[in-house]
Amino acid sequence: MRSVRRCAVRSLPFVMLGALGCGDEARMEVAIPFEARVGSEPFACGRTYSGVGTTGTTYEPMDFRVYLHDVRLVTEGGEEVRLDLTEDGRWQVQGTALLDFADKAGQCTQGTQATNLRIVGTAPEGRYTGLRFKLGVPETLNHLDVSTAPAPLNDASLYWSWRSGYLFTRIEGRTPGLPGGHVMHLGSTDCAPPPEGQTSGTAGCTHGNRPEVALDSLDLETGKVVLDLGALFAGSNLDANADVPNTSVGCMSQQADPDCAEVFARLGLPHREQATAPGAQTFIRAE
Amino acid sequence: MARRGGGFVGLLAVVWLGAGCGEPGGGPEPYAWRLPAGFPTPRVPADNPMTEAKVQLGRRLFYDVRLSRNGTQSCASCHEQARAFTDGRATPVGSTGQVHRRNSQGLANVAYATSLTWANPALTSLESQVLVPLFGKEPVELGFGDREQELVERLRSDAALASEFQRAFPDAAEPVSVATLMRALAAFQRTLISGSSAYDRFAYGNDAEAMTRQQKRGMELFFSERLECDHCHSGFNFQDATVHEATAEPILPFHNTGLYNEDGQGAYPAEDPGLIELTGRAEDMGRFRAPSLRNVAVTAPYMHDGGMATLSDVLEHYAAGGHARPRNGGEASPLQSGFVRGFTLTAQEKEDVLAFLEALTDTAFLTDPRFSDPFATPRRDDSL
Repeated sequence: MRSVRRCAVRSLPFVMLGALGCGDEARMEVAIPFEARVGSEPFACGRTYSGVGTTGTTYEPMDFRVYLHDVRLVTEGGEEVRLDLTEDGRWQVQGTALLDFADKAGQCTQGTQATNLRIVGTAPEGRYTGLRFKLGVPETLNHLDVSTAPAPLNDASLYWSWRSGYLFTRIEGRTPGLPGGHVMHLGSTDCAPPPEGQTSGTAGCTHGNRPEVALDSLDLETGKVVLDLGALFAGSNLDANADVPNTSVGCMSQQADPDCAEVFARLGLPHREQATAPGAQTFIRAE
Repeated sequence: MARRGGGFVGLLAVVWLGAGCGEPGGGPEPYAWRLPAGFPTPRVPADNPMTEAKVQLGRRLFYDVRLSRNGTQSCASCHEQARAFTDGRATPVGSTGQVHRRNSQGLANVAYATSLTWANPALTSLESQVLVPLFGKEPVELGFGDREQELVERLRSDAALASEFQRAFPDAAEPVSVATLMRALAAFQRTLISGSSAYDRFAYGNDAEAMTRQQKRGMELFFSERLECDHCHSGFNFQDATVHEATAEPILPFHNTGLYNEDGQGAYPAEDPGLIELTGRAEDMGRFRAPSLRNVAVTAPYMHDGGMATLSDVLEHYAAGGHARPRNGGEASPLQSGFVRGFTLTAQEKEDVLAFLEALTDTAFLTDPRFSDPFATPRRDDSL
């Protein structure tokens, strides 16, 4: 795709600017496939997986949806270049995308039949060797009214409230120990009341919880991004829930919930219950 | 009142002008949504566009007792406006006296519901839902099962009513039919929109004083991770199973809240096991659709079987992590939702949550003349 077309649609003064600014800058379309796995197995609703977590339990998916934003390509020289996500009215809006690995098979009864396994955008033509992004919804879009927000930010099943914002991940599955389902809901927590005179939103959240994912060797022609639940839950016991009052079965990002400590470590996020500071995230890798 | 009367005259004049001009190809007057701030446009089936004439006909039919075979009940018999279109009973009684097993559901904002009734993922349009009370035999509601022709002939024999059908469905080969009846009733129900509660003035009208301090404290608790209420009662309609014009693919969530656990394995009473009845899936035992909480303070009693008399009872059920839990040695039902895990509330906090739920009551909706019984005679003042 050539930049000329992008410039041509702008209003007159901007056409001049555009002609100067991007007239000779060619752009290319980039589509990056994402794949969900549980260890070495492809993820699919309706399947069951064995050997998951510290108890090697059997895990049966109930949901798997993830928001991401702030998508950047990395040049050979290590420079970051923004990947402008293409707005499609369904999965991508204002630089934020929803990945949806769950159809309606098996226990995945809560979400949509439709899935979305890639991101699509444009970037200046060039040679890129890496991809970086953040999980979650950016702060500027995180406190919208879900009922009127543009897709994919209009799904009430991926929304906590105005104050707390969206569920950045909705990953759920049942195990023999937790037959009602283990949940992994990532999102911003400890969000303050709205500022004076405002009735919705927040004055700010103490824990943003937006993991940075840096995949510094991804081949844009042949590569893909893999989200591995086996890796995400490697340190977690999915058969039991920590016996702490007022915390979730699994992890809903609460600082008070010990179940969050290990899974936050795998996401490269700090958590009150961690013994040591976390390293880089290990949930997502390039292949 | 004089002012209101004047408004009607003005409206009438506009209608007359419209008719007089007779714009070619203009079609019937479309229904003008007057949506509250923050409310999306409801989804409307392509084969049943909203028109003023259809809505008016639907309203008339909704309140017409001829829609029951023995002439004793209308839709409104179990859906009273003053109770946000519920009936105040644990479970309703049909026109022939049969007691139903499920609580009458409110109709406020029913236009936004993904599916209708307590646990039926296949019932996704108000048009098809109309057929359940009209023709259902288990249980008998209005009692026209296998007697569709009798119903149609009854309506057709009323010339004034038949001409209203004609106006509402000018292109129909047969204006009075089950097809037009269900469409008119569905169109009226889509207009039953409630969005002017104290909460709405606060949240959407940005009026920080619209709710009391206590209601605001209750709101904090309602939306907290401690209580988890908003996971199922989410969004502008306080209902997760919500659809509107811009929804790409509606979701169909159903939840087991641990209300019952008859066998320690999560079984609900055989009389009403919930979603499993229609899907046959073991994990759907005890799953029901979360209702909207709008006007919830006036829709007692609560739950699918009307088993809880007050909102205080309902809060205690969720605080206990499921009503059935104490009777199972404190163990949660293996089938209940992970969001129902129990919490502790002080007496003051409980009052605060109840106060917030009161803030969802929309008195304008409960008394809106557009939704009222068109056959009603001016009400006697009972206080005299």
